[in-house]
Amino acid sequence: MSTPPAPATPTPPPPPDPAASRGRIGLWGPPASGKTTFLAALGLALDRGDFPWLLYGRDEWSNTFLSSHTDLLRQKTFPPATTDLSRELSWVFRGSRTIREGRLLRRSTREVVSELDLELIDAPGGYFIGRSQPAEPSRVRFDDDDDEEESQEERLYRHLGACHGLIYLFDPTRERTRKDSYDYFHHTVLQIARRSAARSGDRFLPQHLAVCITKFDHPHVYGPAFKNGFIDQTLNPQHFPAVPDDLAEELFEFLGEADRESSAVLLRNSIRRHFHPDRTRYFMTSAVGFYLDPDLGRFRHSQYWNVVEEEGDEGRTSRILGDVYPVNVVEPLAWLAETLLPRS
Amino acid sequence: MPVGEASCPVCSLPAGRLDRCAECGWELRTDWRQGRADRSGFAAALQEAVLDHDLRVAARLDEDWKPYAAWLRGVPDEAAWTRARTRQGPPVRPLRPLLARVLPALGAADSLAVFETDAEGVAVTLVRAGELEQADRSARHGVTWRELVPMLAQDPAERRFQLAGGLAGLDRATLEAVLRQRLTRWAEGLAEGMVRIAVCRAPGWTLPEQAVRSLGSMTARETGRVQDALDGIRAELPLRVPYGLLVAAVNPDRTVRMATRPLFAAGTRPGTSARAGVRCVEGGVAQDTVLAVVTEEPARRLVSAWSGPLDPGGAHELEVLLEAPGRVRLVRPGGMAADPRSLAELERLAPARLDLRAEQIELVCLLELNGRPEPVARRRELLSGLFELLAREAPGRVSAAVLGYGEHFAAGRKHPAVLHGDWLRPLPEAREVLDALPDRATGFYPNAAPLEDALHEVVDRGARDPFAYSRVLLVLAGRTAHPPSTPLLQDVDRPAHACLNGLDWQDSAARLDFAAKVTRRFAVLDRLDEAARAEPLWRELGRDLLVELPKATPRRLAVDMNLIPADPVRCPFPLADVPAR
Repeated sequence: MSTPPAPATPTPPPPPDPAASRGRIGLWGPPASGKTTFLAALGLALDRGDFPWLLYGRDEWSNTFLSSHTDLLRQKTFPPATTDLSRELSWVFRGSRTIREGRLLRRSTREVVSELDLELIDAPGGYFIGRSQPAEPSRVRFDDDDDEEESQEERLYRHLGACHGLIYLFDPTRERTRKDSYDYFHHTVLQIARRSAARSGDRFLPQHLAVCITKFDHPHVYGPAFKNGFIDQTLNPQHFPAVPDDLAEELFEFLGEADRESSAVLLRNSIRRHFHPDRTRYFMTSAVGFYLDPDLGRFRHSQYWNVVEEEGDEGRTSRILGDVYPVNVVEPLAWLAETLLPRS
Repeated sequence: MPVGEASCPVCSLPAGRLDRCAECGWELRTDWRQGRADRSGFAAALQEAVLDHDLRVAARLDEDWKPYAAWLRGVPDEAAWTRARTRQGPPVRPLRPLLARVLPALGAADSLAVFETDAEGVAVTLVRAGELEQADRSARHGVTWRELVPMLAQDPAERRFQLAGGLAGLDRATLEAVLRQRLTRWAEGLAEGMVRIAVCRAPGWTLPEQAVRSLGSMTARETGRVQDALDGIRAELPLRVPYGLLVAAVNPDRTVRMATRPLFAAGTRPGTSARAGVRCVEGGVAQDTVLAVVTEEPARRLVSAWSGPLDPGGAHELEVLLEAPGRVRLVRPGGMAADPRSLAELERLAPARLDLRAEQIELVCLLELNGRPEPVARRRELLSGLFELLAREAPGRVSAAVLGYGEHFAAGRKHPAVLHGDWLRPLPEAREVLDALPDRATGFYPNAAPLEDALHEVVDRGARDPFAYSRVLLVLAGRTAHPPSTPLLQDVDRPAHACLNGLDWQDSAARLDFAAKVTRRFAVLDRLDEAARAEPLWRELGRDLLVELPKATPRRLAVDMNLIPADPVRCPFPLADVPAR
C-alpha cells in the first residue's frame, strides 16, 4: 500500500523589501478651497492620465467616499460641501518607482512598490480657525467634560503634524474676495509646528509641502497666467493650457502681488519661512479642468472656463460645463511620493 | 254835413259821388222820377237793409245775433237771420303760397314784414332773410285797435261789432283817416324798407280788411297763424348759406385755428344727407368729441352740435341729414348726444396749440426674459404698458418687434438658441407676441445674458427689411451681454462665459445705425449705478436714453423716447385733415 504524499509546504511570503516604503500625506486648506472636489478628481485624473499609480480606500467608508464623489464629478456635479468632522478617510496611493542599489561600479536600479497613505480628515474649512481673536486656551479637562469639539480639532492638528507630506490648497478666487488665506495658513502651521518641529533635522518643518493653486480654469487665474506668458499648450494632446513646474511658484507670487490687498504675499512668506524650499513645490491645479469643446475635441481659447454658476430661487449653485479633465491633481501626490520615499 | 261828406244810411261809409254804396250796395242816388214819393216804402226798405246789414255783421261774429242785439238796428226774425247767415263771406286767399313766392326771392339783406289783422289788433312779424333759417330769430310786434282808433267802443263786444262792420253812427271818414294815418306811422316805424305782406285773419271784417289794404299790396285772407305758415315755408326752403363741420386746423407753427369743412352747399334742399370722414385727435379719451355744424355767412353761427365719446386717433364716418334750414340731424356716428352749449363756449374748448405727431415709428424691443422675479415682472409690465399707451395715444403710427432672449447656460446645459418673439408687426399683434413669450425660467446665469444674440438678430433682420419709417431700439435688461470669448482680465469682477454662438455685441452695435437703420437707442436697466453708466455696452445701447427700471413708467418712457408729446393736449374737435376754409 502506497503512502499518501505529504502535504505541500506553503510557500513562505517573500521577506519585506527594505526598499519599499510608506508615507503619510495630509490635505489642508481654507473653506471652499476645493478639498472635496480635489479628492473626487483624483480617481478621474488617474483614469484620464497614464499614471503608474493606483488609488483605493483603506476601508469601505473611504472607498465609498471616493467612488460616490468621483461619480458626481463625472456627472458634472460638484460634490456637496462637507459638513462635519466625520471620520478619517484613508486611501492607499500605490505605485512603483525605480530605486538605485549597490555602490559605485555595482550600482543597479530596480522597481519597487511604494505606497503613500493619503489620509484626510475631511473637515470643512471652518475648523481651520482664522479669526483675528486668539483661540481659546486649553483648559483643565475633567472626565465628564463634553470635549467632543476640542478633540476633533486636536485630532486634526495631530493628524497634520504627524504627516510626512502636506498638500495645501490655495484658492486665488476666494482670496480675491475674502483675503484671509494667510490667517488660515498661519494658525494651522503653528499647530503643525508645535507637534512636528522637534523631529526636523533643520530649522524648517519636516514636512514636504505641495502648494496647489486651485481653480486654474477660472478667468481670474487663467487670465493673468495667459496674459503674462505662463501658459504652455504643447504639453498635452488636447492642447490644454499648462504651467511648467518651474514657473508655478513664480505665477503664485505674481497672483499674490497683483492684488495689493491680498494676504497671498504674507502666505508666500510664511510658506518660505516654515518649509524648506527643496521640500516645497507649487502646482497650478484644477479639479474640473478646462472646458473641452465636444465638437472640436480640443481646447478652445475663447471658451476655457469649465464651471458655470446658476442662480435660482434657492440661491446660487455651480455646475460643471463640460467633461472633467483634472489638471495637476495626481502630480502633487506623485511628487510627494518621489521626494518622501528613499531613492536608494 | 257838407256835400260829398254824406254817408251811406246803412253802413255809414262816406257816400262820395257813387250811386250805390261801395260797401253795402244801398242805392244812394237815382235819377229824378215824376210822381209821388213812397216815404213809407223807402223807410221799410231802408229798415230792412239796415237790419240785414247789421245781421250780416253779427253773422261774421257769431252763430247767434242775441249777444249783439243791443247794436242791431231792429229786431230780426228767423228768416232774416237765416238770410244773413247764408250770405257767403269773402274768398280765402291763403298766405302760404304768397310766402313761398316771396321768401326765396328775398335778397340776402332784405327783410320781410308780415302784417296780420285780427280781432285784437294789428301785428307784424319781421323776418330777416339772413336769419330766415332761425325760427327763434323772428321779431313780432303788435298794436291794438283802440291804440289805432281811439273812437272805437271800449266794450269788447261792441268793439268787435264795430270792427266787423257795425259802424253805424260813427264818422267813418274820420275813423278811416285816423286808422290809415296811425297804421301807416306804426308800420313805417317797424318795417321801413321791408317787403310787406298783409294778411287778414278776420275775413270779411270791415276794419281788419281795410287795414290790410292799407298795409301792403300783397295780401292774403285766412284764419291760420302767420308763424305756422312761416315755419312751414322755412322747412321747405333750400339753404341760403352753406353749412360746414367745425374742425381744428393746425398751423405750421402748431397753433390751432377753428375752420369748417363743407357739408351742405347753399341751395341744398331739405332731406339731403352729407357724409364726411373725421379724424379725432389722439389722446382725447378723457374728453368727448364735439361735432358742430355751423354756417360761416355772414358770420360763424352754430346750427347744431352733438358731443360724445369717439375713439381718438381713428377715423370715423360722419353722416348728417338736413331736415330743414337751421335743423340738422346726426345720423352717424352713434352714441352722441345734443350739446346745448353755445358756439362761444364750444370754441373755447379748442387748445391754443396742438403738437400732432404724424410720423410712423418702428419700435424694436429687446426683452431679457429671466433674472430675479421682481425685475423680470416689472420689465414685462413696463413694455406691455408702453404698448397699451401707444395704442391709445399714437394709434396706427407704431409697429413693434418683440424679441425676448433667454439663457445660454441653464439647468446644467448649454443652449445656443435663445431667441423668442417676432419681427415688426402692427402694435396689436406685437402685444400678442409679447404675451406669448416664455415665462421666467427658474434658474439663470447670473453674470450675463445673451443680449448679443438679440442684437445680432436686430442687425440681421433690420438689414433685410426695407424700411420707410423711423426705427428705434429699446432694450429692457438686467445683465450685461456675453462676451465673444471668456475674458482674460483679472480686473473683471464678474467674468462671464463666452457667447455659445461666438457673437460679439460690439460688432452688432456698430452696425445698428447703417445696417439695421436704427436711428435712436434706448435702454432700461434693472439697476443704473455708476458701474452700469460706465459700461460700454449700456453707453452704446442707451446712447439716447438710459433709465432705471424702478423709475420708469410707460408714459414717461414714451415721452422721453419722443414717441408722444409731453403734454397730451386735448382737442375735442375733429382735425381738418383736408383743406378747410
